[in-house]
Amino acid sequence: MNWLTRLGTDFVRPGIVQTGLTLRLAGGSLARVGHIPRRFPSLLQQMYQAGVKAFHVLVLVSFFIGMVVSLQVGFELARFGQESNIGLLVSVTMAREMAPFVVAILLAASSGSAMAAELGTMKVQEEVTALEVLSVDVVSYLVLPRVAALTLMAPILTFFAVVVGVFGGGVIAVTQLGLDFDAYLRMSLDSLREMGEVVHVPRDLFGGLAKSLVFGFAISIIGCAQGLTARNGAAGVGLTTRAAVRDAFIVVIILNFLMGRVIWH
Amino acid sequence: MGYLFQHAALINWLSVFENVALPLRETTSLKEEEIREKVETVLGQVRLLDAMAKFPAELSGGMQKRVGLARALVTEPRIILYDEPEAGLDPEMTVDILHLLNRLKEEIKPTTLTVTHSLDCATHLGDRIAVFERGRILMDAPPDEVLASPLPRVRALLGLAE
Repeated sequence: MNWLTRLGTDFVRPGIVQTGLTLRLAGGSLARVGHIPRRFPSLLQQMYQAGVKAFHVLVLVSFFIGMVVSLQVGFELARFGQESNIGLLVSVTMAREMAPFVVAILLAASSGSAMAAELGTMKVQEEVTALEVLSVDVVSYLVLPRVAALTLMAPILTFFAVVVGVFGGGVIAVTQLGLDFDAYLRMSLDSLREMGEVVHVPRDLFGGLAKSLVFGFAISIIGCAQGLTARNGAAGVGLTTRAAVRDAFIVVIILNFLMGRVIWH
Repeated sequence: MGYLFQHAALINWLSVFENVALPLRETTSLKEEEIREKVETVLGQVRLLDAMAKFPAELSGGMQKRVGLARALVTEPRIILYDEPEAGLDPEMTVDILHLLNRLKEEIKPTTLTVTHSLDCATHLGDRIAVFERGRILMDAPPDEVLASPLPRVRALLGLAE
């Protein structure tokens, strides 16, 4: 087998097959949105797993990211006597980029991988086949609650990440840059209230939340698709879990660029 | 069609009751009382009424198999496929599950298709036995005839060759 054939059979074909399965699962989940009321208990459980359990980590990470942004940008601004604008920079940076991105990375690493591992284990233990034999709609029963939960939780977590990040930035603004906290907070909130021209909502905040919604959907679909294609026992589950996190990172980074381009430029 | 999986394939996070009720909840519009009645009936048939609230991880291999059987029976299928019903069970549990399957055969009278490597299991459960090798049927006959088969390959596969 020459290298070109190997490239095709080992990388290109599996990649195309997996992409096709993932897109089909995305379409299948969207087509079953009407089933959500039936899946409400399962949806709540998944929201708790994905959101509430990740909350304390998110608070910690967002607080420090807010401080880092404030610290790095604040001292540069201070050189030009512009440190009073730090509130605007921290809030816009958190709302547009840092909060959606950090939430996506956190969810891909925790919830996306957990979904791949959970569904992968069910797949290799024939539980998914058992559901199919029992005529249970696997997409509606297993995939939809997970996808809906992450799609809903991602923007909620992002909102909290923005709030906590702005406060983290405020700590640096007060302690390191000698600014008044009220003035900092006022500037942060004023900049977040700036309305969009096309859609009349606070542009930066809602743009970030919209990105987060799409990230949550993509991460959960990728995690579920990887899990449902697991094979070869425990080793196979390990591979699909790793692939779920890797693919989610790649897709989030690409979507982040594309959506940023569409929303703000 | 009902299907008893080799390793039961129960849903881990559901109790015994929920596992058996699952196909009724997902594929029928029965009321909760009707579902409870049907589930309790089949769990009674497999003698697991006491274990209704337990989870699969709390059950022995034999009990898991019986839950799998109850789940296969609850939709009242006309055909049931048993995949290695004795696999992974100790001799005592094997006898137990074979007696149970025989009793159900008399009570419910479904058409059953059993895939097994065990001659004991095949002769206990089968009205006809088909001997396979590499996807080909070497012999298809009632148990007595299969056991008395003169075909050397059939005797070898069944462990009857001298």
